[in-house]
Parts: sequence; structure tokens; C-alpha cells
Amino acid sequence: MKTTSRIAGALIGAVAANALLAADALADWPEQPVNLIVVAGAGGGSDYTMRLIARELETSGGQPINVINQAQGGGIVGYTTYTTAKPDGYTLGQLSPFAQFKILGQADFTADSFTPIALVNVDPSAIHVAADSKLQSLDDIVAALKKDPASLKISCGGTCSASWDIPFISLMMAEGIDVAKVNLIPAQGSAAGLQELASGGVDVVLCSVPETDALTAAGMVKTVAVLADERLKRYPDVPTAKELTGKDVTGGTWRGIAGPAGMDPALVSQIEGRIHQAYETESFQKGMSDRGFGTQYMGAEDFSAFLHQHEAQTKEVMNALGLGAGAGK
Amino acid sequence: MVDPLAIFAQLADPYLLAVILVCSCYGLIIGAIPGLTALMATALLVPFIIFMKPLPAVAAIISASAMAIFAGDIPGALLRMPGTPASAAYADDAYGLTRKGKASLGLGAGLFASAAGGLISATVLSLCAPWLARIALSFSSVEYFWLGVLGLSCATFVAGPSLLKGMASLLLGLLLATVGLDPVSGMPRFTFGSTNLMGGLGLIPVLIGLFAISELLRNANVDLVGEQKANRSGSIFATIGEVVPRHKTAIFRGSFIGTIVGALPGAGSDIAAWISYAMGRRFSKVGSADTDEGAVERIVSASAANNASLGGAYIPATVFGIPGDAITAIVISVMFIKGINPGPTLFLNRPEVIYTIFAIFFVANLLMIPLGIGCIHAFGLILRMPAKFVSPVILLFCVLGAFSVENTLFAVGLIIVFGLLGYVMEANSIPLAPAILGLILGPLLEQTFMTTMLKSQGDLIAFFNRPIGGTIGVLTLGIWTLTVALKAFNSANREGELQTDTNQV
Repeated sequence: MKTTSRIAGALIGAVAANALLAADALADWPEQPVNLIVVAGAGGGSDYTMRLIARELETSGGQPINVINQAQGGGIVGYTTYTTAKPDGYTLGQLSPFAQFKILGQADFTADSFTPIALVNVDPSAIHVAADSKLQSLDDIVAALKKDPASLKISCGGTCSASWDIPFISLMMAEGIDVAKVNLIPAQGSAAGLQELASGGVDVVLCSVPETDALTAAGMVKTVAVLADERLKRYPDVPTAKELTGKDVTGGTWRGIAGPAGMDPALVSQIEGRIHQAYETESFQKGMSDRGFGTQYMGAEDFSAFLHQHEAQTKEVMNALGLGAGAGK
Repeated sequence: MVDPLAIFAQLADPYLLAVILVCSCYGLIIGAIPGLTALMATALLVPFIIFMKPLPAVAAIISASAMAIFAGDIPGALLRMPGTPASAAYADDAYGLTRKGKASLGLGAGLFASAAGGLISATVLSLCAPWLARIALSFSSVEYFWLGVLGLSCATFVAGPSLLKGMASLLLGLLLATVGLDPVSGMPRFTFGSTNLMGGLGLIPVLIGLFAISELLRNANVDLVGEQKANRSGSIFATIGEVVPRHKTAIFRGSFIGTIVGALPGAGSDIAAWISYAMGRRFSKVGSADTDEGAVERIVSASAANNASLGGAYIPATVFGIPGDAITAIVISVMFIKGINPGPTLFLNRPEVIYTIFAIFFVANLLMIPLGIGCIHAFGLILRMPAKFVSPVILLFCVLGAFSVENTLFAVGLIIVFGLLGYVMEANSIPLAPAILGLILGPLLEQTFMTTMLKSQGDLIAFFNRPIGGTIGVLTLGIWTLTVALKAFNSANREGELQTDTNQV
């Protein structure tokens, strides 16, 4: 009996605390545990990045951050969970390339469904070929596609119309290639795409550079270009597509933290401050560079502009691929 | 090669041994709870091992996952609730033994086979990882497609007495596997506008529903008090002494299949267990019989396979950084963090590290025997408790398991729906196993078929014009044709005999 009444007491206390919180929404965030939805499975790159930032937030904020993995439906389930949650700062989620979902008719989020808070990671897409391939440079690939756009089998290193292939297709459009005819092949992640490359199943794989470390060391894979503004510190020998072609096309995947639409701007700037602090810690920076993940920071305002830019690029590319038909619906 | 003494020196670290022991116990507990898988045991470890030194970190994963895969057998055998998908293949056989009061026979055999499978795959791993990895990397979507088709053939071996009902169950599984986003185009299918269905029907909730919930429903209707007699705790060591010599071929075959299937990225311990189970039923005289002895033969070949596949998965992971399954995907990520970057250079530059990792496999699998026996005894107590106390607890764990895998309440709803479905299917003697096989293989078949067609731009010849893929393809089609032809020939013969008989009369 005693335990029961103690539990009841604790419950009443919790309810009261909640009421207080509602009255004073701008008390110091976080005052209670925070749920952080990761739109990918446990153990992958997204999970790793988010857990790393969660660990720092936990240390600095003194409240537990519950990392919840909801990878179902390519992450749609996770996005739905947090965009439909109460915008009180206690349900946040990972925000990564999302614009393709609406265009493909899978979901209806737009940039306006989120309250962007901060971006912490950008990993540029890169173009890889087999080391013994007849294609040895970006020029070879462009030349082959100009001659016959369908002549190469190109693995998207994941689902197509996503992080890795959209910037590549953008680049090919800039080169004047009829991208609607390009043979894009989806894979179950970059490892599966690289497996296809090693077994001779495809000619080109698009994914980030660190993912090919082991195969490059084995002399089986060669990275011909990275779609970044400048060469990556970790890979000084890999040229950027910009220096090779003169076309300023960049892109890849990115990971940030957002909440449901309609969060109080004062609350957003408070959480943003916390995330920035976490981002700056040595342990976060080291954790990211150990795994070869790129670090880049954007505050709420820049992140928001970036989301609209992401939507526009995705729409343009998918229209050119002939996938944009559903866009108007 | 590397100096064995250096490896022993690394292994003798008391901290490392303590980590192995603690994580082994942890893996046993997680694996024994229905719905909590080896993958989950591994994923939950990550936040802790990030702070450890490299070797203990990898050792933690190796020991926890090996124990969890074995422990999945325990609730499968005692309660007919496979703890992990890899145990589903032989849950019925093991449970059958338990009901006859031979729980220690089924579990003891499974335990020893698991440890043996682990040890054999660790040997293969240490001796020829770089060489096998090269073969594994020559598999493209064509080879995987044929492997999947070959796997489907296994359904005929787990179909039970009625082939027709078995096929119905298999097709149901394949149908259920199509729910969710199309793996190639991303179009939602059979989702009826529900966001939850976009992710498809999770294997774990379906498994818990079909096996565990349906069994609870059945138990609620039957008085179990009289049924579950049983000398549950016969000496497991005695069992091992008896069983091993008699089934050594099955153990070796299972370990071999497991290592190979595990080494193929994209095929994991569940597929290894099913294929090995089917081989045990089809190609072994003992295993094809519906006797206790036959059940043991099938259990050992599948248990050996699912544990061996864990080691196999490290082959492409350590050599090329390509994960053989979801667990090694986590291992690779941990190795990166710890600065032991997987790749061929690891074998050249730091052989003592990689061979110590392989040595940890031996330690973990040897440790599995005493710990496993303890775990079996602890769980054996469940059988002595009245069902009315046990059932609610099991239901609780089923709900927890489903929720913790998917993090949605929807998954909890799924186990109820599939519990009812499983109950109805079994009441009409439609076997459950082929449906699970369909669910496991459906996505693999669809992805690989579609990917191959996309690559060849619709040319079916692509399925035959690669040397390995073409060979497996022709072999599979050959087996199918031969089976059908033999059946037709046999029945024609029998008719012929019948006719001669009538003529004589």
C-alpha cells in the first residue's frame, strides 16, 4: 500500500510539474526528459551522429535524452511521429533530406512542417568506380553518358531520388545529358551498392567517401570526384566535381535537429544555443572525425533557408527524371 | 601469421575477460526474451562500449550476439516462442521434444551445436577470411536472386504433411512481405493510407504474433496442468556426450552452410538456419524422419548454422568493410570509432588485433557451454510453474518485445492481429513456418529481381549470363524440374502397378 501511495504522490508531483512548465514555457530547456526521434535504424551513421549529439546535450542539460529509432518506411514513420507531436521542445527529431517523399507521393511534409533548429553534419556525395574499370575519371563517365545516357549502370548507394544521386543528376543536367534516360539502380544502402560494384554488377556507385575506405585500401574501388565545395581534409587526393568540370554542383546528405512546426522562437533559440554548445565540444568533433563524418554548423535561420533550397533542387532534378508528375498532387 | 603468444597475452587481460563474461550473461538474457533479438542486444550495447578500449568493445559485441542467438532457442523450445527469427526454423521440433519431457535433449543438443558452429566458423574465419571475402564480394543481385529462389524451395521441406497447405502458407508470407514501400520505386503498397503500414509488417511483431500469441491463445483453451509433466532437467552434459557423436555430420554441415551464408552480405543467420534446417530434413536419413532422433538432427544442423553465420558475417566485414549482416554493420562502425579501420590493411599492418578478435570468438563460444547450461536450468523452472502464472508474464514480454523493436504502439496491435491469424491457421493445420520463410525471403527476392531487371533493362538473359549466378540458377531449376518429374513418374508408376494388379485380379 505504501508503495502505491508513493507512486501516486510521484504522479501528482509530475502532473504539477507539467502544469508549472506550461505556465512558464520559457523556463530553462530541458526541464524534463527529451525524446529525440532518429529516422534511421540503430547502428547506422544517422543513429551514431544523433546519439553523439544526444550524449553531449544530456551532459550539459542534466536531463536524459531518449533516442528513439523509427526507421520504418525510409524514416517516414519517424518524421510523422515528431512533426505531429506537441511543439513544446520535448519531442525533437533528426532532419535529413526529406523533399523526395512528397514528390513521390509517400508523405506530405514540406519545409513548413518542421521547425528547423540546427544542422550539425554534411557529408558530400561522391562518385566511385571499380579500380579496374574502363571508366577512370569523371570525364570518362560524362563522355560515356553523352554518347548514350543509358550505357552505364549507376547505383544510387541507397534508394534513388535521394541524398547521393540527386546532386549527381544535377551535375549531369549541367553537362547537358538527357538524365531521364540514365539507368539509376537503387540499393539497400551504400554497402550493398559497393558490393554490386565489386562484383561487376554496376559501373558507378554514388555514396559518401568514408564508406569506401576499406575497398579503396584493397585496391578495388577508386573515387573519381566528390561533390563538395572544396576537397575534403581527410581525402586531399580526391578532386571536387567543381574543379574537374567547372560546374558548381554540390550536395549529399545532411543531418540536423528539428521539431514540429509552430515552436516558440524563444524556445528555438534556447535549444539552438544548447546544440551549438554540444557541437563545439571536443568529444563531438572527435567522435565525428573518427568515423569520417563531416561537421558543419547552421543555426535555425540558415538551416531554414537551406531546407527551401533542398526542396527546390530535389524538385528540379526529379522533374527532369520524369518523377515529378506527382509533385502537383 | 602472427605470434600466438602475443594473442594470448592480449586475451589474458582480466578486464577483457570480465567484459566477455558480463556481456555473455547480458546476451543470454536479451536473447531468451521473445522478440528481443541479437541485433537489439548489440545495438543497446553501443552507448556503453563507445567508452571502452577497442578490443573489449568488439569483444562485448561478439559475446553478446553469440549468446543471444543461442538463447533464442530457449523460449522456442520451452514455450514455442522463438526468441529470435533465427530460432523460428526449429521451434516446433524443439517444443515437440519438450512436450514429450525431453527438453534437456533438445536444448542440450542445440547448445552444443551452437557452440560447435561458432567454433567452426571462427576456425574458418581465422584461416581463410581474406580468400572467402573475395568470393563473397563476387555475388551480385543475380546470385542473390537465385539464392533466394533456392531458399524458397526450403518451404517444401518445412511444409508439413500437406504440400498444398504449406504452399498456401508460403504464399501468404510472400504476400505479407509486399506490404509497405516498394523497395525499388518507393511506391506505397497495401498501406491503405496508414503511415505505420509504410514500413511494412515488421518481422519481429509478426513472429511474436504468429508463434507466441497464438500459443497463448491455445493454452488458454487447454488445460495444461496434466500435459506438461516432464523430467525437464536431465543432465545436459550426458546428453551432449550421447548426441554429438551421432549427429556430427549434421553439425559440420550446419556450420559449413552457416559460415558461407553468413559471409554473404545480405543473407543473415535466419536464412542460414532455414537452409540448414531444410538440408537436415531432406538430405539426411535420420533428419527426414518424424522421430525424436530426427528432430534432434534438424535442431543441431540449424542451431549450428545460425551461430556459425555470425562468424561468417565477419569475413566481408573485416576484410572489405562490407557488413555481412546488421550486427556486423554495428561492429564496423564501432571499429571505425576505435581506430581499427576494417580493410585488407588491417590484416597486413595490425594482424595481432584482427587475430585477437577472431580468438575472442573461440573464448565466447567455449564460454557458451557452461553459461548456456545455467540459463537452460533457470528457464526450466518456468515449466514447473502453473500456466496461469506464466502466461501473463509471457504476454507482457511479447508486448514489450514488439514495442521495443519498432518503437510504435502499432507493433503491439500487429501481434494481436497475427496472434489471431496464427491461431486460425494452426486450428486448420496450416503450418506457420513457410509463412515466416516467405516473409524473410520475399523482400530479398523482390529487390534482387527488380535490381537485376533494371540493370539489364528488362533482359531476362541477365539471370543466366554470369558464371556463379547462372550455375546456381540452372541448378535450382534442375532440382525443381527433377522433383516434379520424379513425382509424376512415381505416380504414373503407381497407377501402372495398380492397373497390373487389377489385371491380375
